[in-house]
Amino acid sequence: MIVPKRNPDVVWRLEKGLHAMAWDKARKEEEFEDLGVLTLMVKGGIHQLNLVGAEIWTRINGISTLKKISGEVGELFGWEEGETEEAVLEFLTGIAEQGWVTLNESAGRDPAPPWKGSRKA
Amino acid sequence: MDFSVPVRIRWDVDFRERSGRVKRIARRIAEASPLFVELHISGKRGFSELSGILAELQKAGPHVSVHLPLLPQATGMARRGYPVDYIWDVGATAGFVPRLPEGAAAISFIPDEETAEELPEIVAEFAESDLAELHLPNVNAVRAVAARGHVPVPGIDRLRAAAEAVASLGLSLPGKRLVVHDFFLWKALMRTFPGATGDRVEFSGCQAGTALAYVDWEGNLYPCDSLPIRLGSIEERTLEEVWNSPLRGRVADTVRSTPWACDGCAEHRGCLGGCRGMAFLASGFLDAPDPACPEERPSAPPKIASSES
Repeated sequence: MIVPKRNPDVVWRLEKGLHAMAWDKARKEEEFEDLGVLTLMVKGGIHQLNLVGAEIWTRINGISTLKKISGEVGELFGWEEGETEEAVLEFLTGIAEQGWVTLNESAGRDPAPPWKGSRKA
Repeated sequence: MDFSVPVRIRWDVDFRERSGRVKRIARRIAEASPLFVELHISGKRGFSELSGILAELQKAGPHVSVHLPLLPQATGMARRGYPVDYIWDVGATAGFVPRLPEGAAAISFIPDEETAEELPEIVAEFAESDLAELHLPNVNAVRAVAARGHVPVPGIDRLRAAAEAVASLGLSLPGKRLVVHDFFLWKALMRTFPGATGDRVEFSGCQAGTALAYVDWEGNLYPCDSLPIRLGSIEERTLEEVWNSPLRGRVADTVRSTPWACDGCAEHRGCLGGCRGMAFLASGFLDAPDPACPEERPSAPPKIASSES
């Protein structure tokens, strides 16, 4: 399982007005992809993410897995499950190459064992 | 790029023992959630307000740096352990190292028309010291106008001569960093100290009125301290309200555009038009070229340029 973690040296901020504006456009099915809604500063350079990037970025917490983030983002934008995970991984790989996040492999938690005992009345 | 509110805010907290309603200004800045705040403190008024300002700013959690003069009272402030970076303004004369507080890591020197020739001595002392960073900001035009009625912008010849004098000293700056605001001075120093000046690959041009804002000691908001175009007062309105004014929008549009004389210039890819504040101060036009640019250019704009006042 892949668990992305933000580089703590990256400082960032959600551009609240622009984020709301982008969501408004998305709901009206207008173009929103070119609108920067989240600002990151890395080593003095300024970068912006669009709405999709921002929704992924804000869900990165060092605990949530790629699968969980993809599920939430896919639901937000009404995307197919398989496509979403691939797209989110592509985005994460891109920002990992820039050093903004690290992608850690986590063994994850095994599913709970099936109940074997008998319930007492 | 556009921003709901500025990413970096410089605030001149006091000026000749004058300041506005400091806590209100600090609160207005914190409400805007900047990522970086640079506080410039010059006297007793600022020293006495610093802890209150920091308490207010911490609510938004920006990275805070405090520029202080090398005064005994200021060096005492640094020992109080506020969670900020201190940058010591060393003035215009060398011999600053003995006056620095213990553990000082960063200093600042403004090369203006009167002080540019001191640059070699400042860099030489910095090179020999344990300091990690030397900041070379541009002239603070708002403050200069209030203090002396004019802005002492250094000419490119003077800056170039200072950079050449620095180069002739044969210094090296291993493990140190030069933070140079002016693109053309940076370019001149880069040849001498390629490892210390950074490569500016992330440089996105002048940030006045886009990512950057400046607040003066009375709470007036400007696009940058080098660009004395007053946008409004954040004592009277929120920073976001002043930032969303049509005037700020016009400044930002002009800053993002290519200056008329830079069309077709091969250097423009690097400098992106340079400092618009210096251009405005030199010509009265925001869309004029940076006067520090050494490239040859047409003597007059091809069209009537719009000015902001």
